[in-house]
Amino acid sequence: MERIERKVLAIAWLGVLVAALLPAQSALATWASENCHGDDWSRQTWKRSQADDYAMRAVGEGYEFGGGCYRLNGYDDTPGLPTDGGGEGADCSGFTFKTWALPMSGANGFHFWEHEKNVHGPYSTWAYYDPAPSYPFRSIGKTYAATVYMDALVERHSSFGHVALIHQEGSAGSDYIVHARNNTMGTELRYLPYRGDPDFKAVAREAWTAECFPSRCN
Amino acid sequence: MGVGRSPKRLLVSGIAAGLAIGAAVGASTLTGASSGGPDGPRPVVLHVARVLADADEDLSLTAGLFCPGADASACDVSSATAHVLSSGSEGWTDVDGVTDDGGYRFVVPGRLVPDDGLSYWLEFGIEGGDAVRFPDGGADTPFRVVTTAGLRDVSWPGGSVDFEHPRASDSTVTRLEYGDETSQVGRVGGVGDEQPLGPSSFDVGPEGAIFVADWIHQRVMVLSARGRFRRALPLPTRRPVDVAIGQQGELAVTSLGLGATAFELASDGRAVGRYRVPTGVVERISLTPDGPFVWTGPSQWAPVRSRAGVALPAQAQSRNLAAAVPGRDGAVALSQELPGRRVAFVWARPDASRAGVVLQLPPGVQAGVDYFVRGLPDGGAIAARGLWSESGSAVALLRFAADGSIVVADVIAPPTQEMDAASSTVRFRAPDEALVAYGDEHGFRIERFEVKG
Repeated sequence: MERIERKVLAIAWLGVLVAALLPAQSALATWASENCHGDDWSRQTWKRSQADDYAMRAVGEGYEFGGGCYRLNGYDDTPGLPTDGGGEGADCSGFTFKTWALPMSGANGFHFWEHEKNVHGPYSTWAYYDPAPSYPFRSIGKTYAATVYMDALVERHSSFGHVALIHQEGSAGSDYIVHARNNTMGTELRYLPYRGDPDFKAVAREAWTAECFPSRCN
Repeated sequence: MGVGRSPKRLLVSGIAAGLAIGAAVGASTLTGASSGGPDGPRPVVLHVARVLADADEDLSLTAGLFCPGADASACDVSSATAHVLSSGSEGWTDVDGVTDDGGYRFVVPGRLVPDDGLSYWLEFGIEGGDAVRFPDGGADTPFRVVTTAGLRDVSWPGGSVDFEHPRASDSTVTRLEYGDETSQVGRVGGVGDEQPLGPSSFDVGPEGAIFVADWIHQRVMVLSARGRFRRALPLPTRRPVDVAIGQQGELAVTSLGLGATAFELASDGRAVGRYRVPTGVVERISLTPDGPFVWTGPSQWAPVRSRAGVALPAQAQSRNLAAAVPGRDGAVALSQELPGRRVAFVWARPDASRAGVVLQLPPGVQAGVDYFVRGLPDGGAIAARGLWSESGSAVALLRFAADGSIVVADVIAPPTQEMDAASSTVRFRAPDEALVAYGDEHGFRIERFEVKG
């Protein structure tokens, strides 16, 4: 009898504990944890044009420091949230990671991340600015002749860094840029003079699938 | 994602930035939302328009289509054509575009580029839909290209650009602290992956007064010609990226990006016109005797109203794109990069004759941002143009004589990168000054450079 009473008491305490914790769990839930259920999978191919389409679909959406999840509806779902408050959007390095379909580890192959997948990837702006030999991207020259669309322009300072993708090449040191800009402007398309800014270096993903694939490329 | 930053610092900086931004702005959609609205969704043509070309040389044009929002099928392009009309010829010649770098490239053969220039417009066939013309008026409202024929060729003095030793300014006009007081300006970002952003542009009034667009506090700061704070004008838009001042001290501001809105304001800040700009990717505004024009792409300025308070519909804005708009005094001038490290400057003399030069830059140096070209009463001109190389950048302050010869070619430090309207960071102030904005985490300031012959 005494054993049963103890069991009942224990279950009652457990119930109280669960009841007490439930509101706390609810308070910890973020927009991202409730809305980001995207999938991901390995791919054999990934073309610049596919990456460009992927990037441009996110224009108008939000920005989230350390984030990676988009709900594609043409606006920032969490404009008033702090920049690392679990809201919508990637940050610039996460946006580049997803657009380039980089694998989480290793240099080879492609990995597709749905926009709704909340993933940032392992690469910081430092990594893009000064890539290790094992990374699947490398520094290149930044003249117009040296770059192709979906290459990136990256800057790194002591307190911040930024990496942005070339959507369409322009002139006079400017280009149409698609990037996860910041919490104010979100993910945007702009004509910006990054190329002509000496703080910026150019970096290119390696091993893009040829645009002509699977046809025979001349 | 940044490295080596403590969670506490992240949290504090994130909350601080978030509160400031959220309270003042909350306007991310301005930079990327659908360009639809009363005029319906419209594909956005991303084009680097050409204003100047070399006669008898191939002219390369690039363009692409972007369909904001869900209606991506409106961008399924089946054909891309540049329609070209050489001056003096009878009919239009079609130049097919080829896919290139995600967009289309049109190579106009040199035989279609006579001394007197040409006109062109672009047409994109859409699978299962109406063709997209750009400008909207097609053959009725083409882009006009003039050539460098007859312009004087000059070379950069000394044969090299010393990026390491820029010329010092003549004086500091104003220093503004960051903060929320009336006489302070806002700044956000600067940590992690967030680029820092301070005031987004400034302009100079007809009497030399300075107007600074403080988008964070949704106001324009008005400073005297000597840089003393006078007043702050509240603005009716949450994201005033660029400000322009008219001949009578009236103001115009525009918000940023796709689907922007331009405002015409009385000198007390009262809105007298509100105009949607569904064309292009907006980031500058200019006030001319014919009203505000908004920069919607390289060498593309769209008029936004027919008369004060009455907006032009989207198609009319696109039909009437101008490659260069007159300044508030009605004078027209322009500058454009040319192949082979050259940059052309063209302006009107007081007698309305055309003057201009083609400047050859030293090896390794490219032309950068076009800040301004202004004709002077003596027939010469002052210009400010960005220069860049793989390792350096600067602003060239140039003064040309009436015959096009170079009188001054100074190199100054590049302006702040924290202003969103990048080409509004260097401004002309009559009679012969350039005002340049600089800023970092310590504050924002405007320096004055005399460009005297």
